[in-house]
Amino acid sequence: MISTDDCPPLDAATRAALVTYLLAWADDELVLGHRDSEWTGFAPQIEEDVAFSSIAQDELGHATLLYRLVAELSDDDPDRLALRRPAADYRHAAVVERPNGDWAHTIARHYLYDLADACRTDVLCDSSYAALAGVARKMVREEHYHLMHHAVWWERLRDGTPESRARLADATRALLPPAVDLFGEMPSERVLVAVGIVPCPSGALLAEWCLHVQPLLSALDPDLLPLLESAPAPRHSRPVGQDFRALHAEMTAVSASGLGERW
Amino acid sequence: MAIYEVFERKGPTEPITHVGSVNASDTDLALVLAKECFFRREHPTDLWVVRREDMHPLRETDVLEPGTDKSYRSIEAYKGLAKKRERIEAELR
Amino acid sequence: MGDEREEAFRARVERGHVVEAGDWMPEEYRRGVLKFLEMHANSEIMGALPEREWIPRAPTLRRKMSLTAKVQDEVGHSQLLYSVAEDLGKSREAMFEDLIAGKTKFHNVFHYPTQSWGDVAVIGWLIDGAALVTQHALLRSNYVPYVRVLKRICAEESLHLKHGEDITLELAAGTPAQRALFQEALNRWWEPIMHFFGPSYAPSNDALLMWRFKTKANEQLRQEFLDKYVPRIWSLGFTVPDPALRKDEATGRWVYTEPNWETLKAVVSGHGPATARRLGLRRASYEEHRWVREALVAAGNRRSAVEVGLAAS
Repeated sequence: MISTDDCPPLDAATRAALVTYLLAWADDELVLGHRDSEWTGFAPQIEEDVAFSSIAQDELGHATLLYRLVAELSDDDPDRLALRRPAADYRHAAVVERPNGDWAHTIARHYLYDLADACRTDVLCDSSYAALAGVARKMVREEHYHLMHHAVWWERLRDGTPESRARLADATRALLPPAVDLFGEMPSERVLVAVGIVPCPSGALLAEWCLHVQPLLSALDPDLLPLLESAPAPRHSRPVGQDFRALHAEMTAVSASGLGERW
Repeated sequence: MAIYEVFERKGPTEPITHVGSVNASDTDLALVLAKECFFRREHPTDLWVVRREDMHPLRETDVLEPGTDKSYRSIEAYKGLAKKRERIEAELR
Repeated sequence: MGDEREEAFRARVERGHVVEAGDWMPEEYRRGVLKFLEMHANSEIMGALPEREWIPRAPTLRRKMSLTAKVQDEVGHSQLLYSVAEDLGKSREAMFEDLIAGKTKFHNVFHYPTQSWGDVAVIGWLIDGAALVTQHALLRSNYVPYVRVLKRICAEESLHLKHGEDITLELAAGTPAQRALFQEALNRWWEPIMHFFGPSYAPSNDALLMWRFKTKANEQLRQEFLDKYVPRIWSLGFTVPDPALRKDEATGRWVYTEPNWETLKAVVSGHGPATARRLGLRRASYEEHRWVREALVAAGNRRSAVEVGLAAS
């Protein structure tokens, strides 16, 4: 893995901007991975339990890569960043903190998220900051499997029974607005776009994502298409909702217990 | 739903080997599931699934047992060849 | 005539011959092996439940991933074992439905609740250690379809053991509060661990031992476990909550307070402290996902029809 030491040093403002940007993305992957891991032992079918658990580990692994990068840039510790910040300091997108719901909601959320993540990761492979480009390239292959997995499930739920189709449509209807917000301007993004560390602004990726999502919606329920037309909200800090408060409490129960430093 | 047998090939010059089975509704799902069920710790170059009902056993397995002496098919039959060569070379000297 | 075949089978297994899924076997052997495999498969799927509660609470990123991977492996083991059991004539659905209806058994240790990260250490090190002792012995079982999956299972359990030991060592080397966490968990788990190996039976009363499906008696396995783990527990400065526990140097055997076998019987027949809740969770999950199973069957049937149609054209 390319370390920040192998990269030309950044000025303080750019470094601070990159830390803010990466932390938001790391939080996305961590919270999604946390939600995914809640299915371990209770997925719809034993083989799928195993497969989905790998997806959870992949997301947590991506989060780990990003927290490590942030830790290098800010002289911090990845576990402290991931598991010991106060709830109000997390900057993940609202779509990933939603409870898993039923299997249709889980598949729809992951498919929409991973399609967005693929757009983001693709452009970041060309980041002018080599350490970030390296992290993005590492993620790409695992994301390929995720998309394969989600597509297979999406199709079977869409075509299975009237009930499975209805559940998938209902879940997608609820998820589309917060999914669109994945393309809201990330914190400190403009500074990074200006120097090519982020080669493309988040908003500009929305069109590409829509190209992938439109045919999915047309084949499921064309009434969902207008939901793609809303403008993504910029990603500011949000008040901590009940869902994340509960998630955070569980996630930090041992790490922030004060019982010890090393585990 | 059906049982799918899972096969891998570890490398391009290796034979296809059986690793286990998965339950799935169809081949695409079987492939997605097989990848994580059996290959979390190994990385074969190829992966196949076949429906168990598409695999056909030989019922009369007794025909697989050895019969009359076919040792001439095996290199073991020529174990004494080096000594035989030494003897004949000595005789011819 | 049936007796002749059974005598021939008995003679063959006593000579060390192996048994395959498609072989003729006495009904007692088939039923006994199926019941054993079913219990093992059930134990893996129920064994996922105590530890999965700690994945959301894992205190580092690495432990979060490794604990997820460990529980994933347990689910994977149940997949392998249900597949092997199915080949003896009971469908996976039937086995699962009997499990959630409380009609079939799973190992005692998975009927108990977890309370702290200390439990994760004890389960990962000592309970997986106990399981590995029994599974290692079963690698020489004569029912070879089981042996084939056990090879993969044992390899993964060996990894789990190291994972559990690693967690334990961090607690052992940690703060007094962390050491107390482990000790408190060990105090709670000791009796279930001793129960895990089952009571000592005379070999002639252990049918699966007589059929050579099992190769070692319960007491022998318990002694192996004590031999391997008690010295290590003591060398970390922890205590075992049995004042009578010691190794008799003359006989080389561990002496311990005889566990209460009535407790074990009650637990495995469905009256453990966490049994009802856990079976309830499994039942609820199974019901909750009914629509998914139906969707897969419907989608699968449609695809098969298309494939057959394409093949015919």
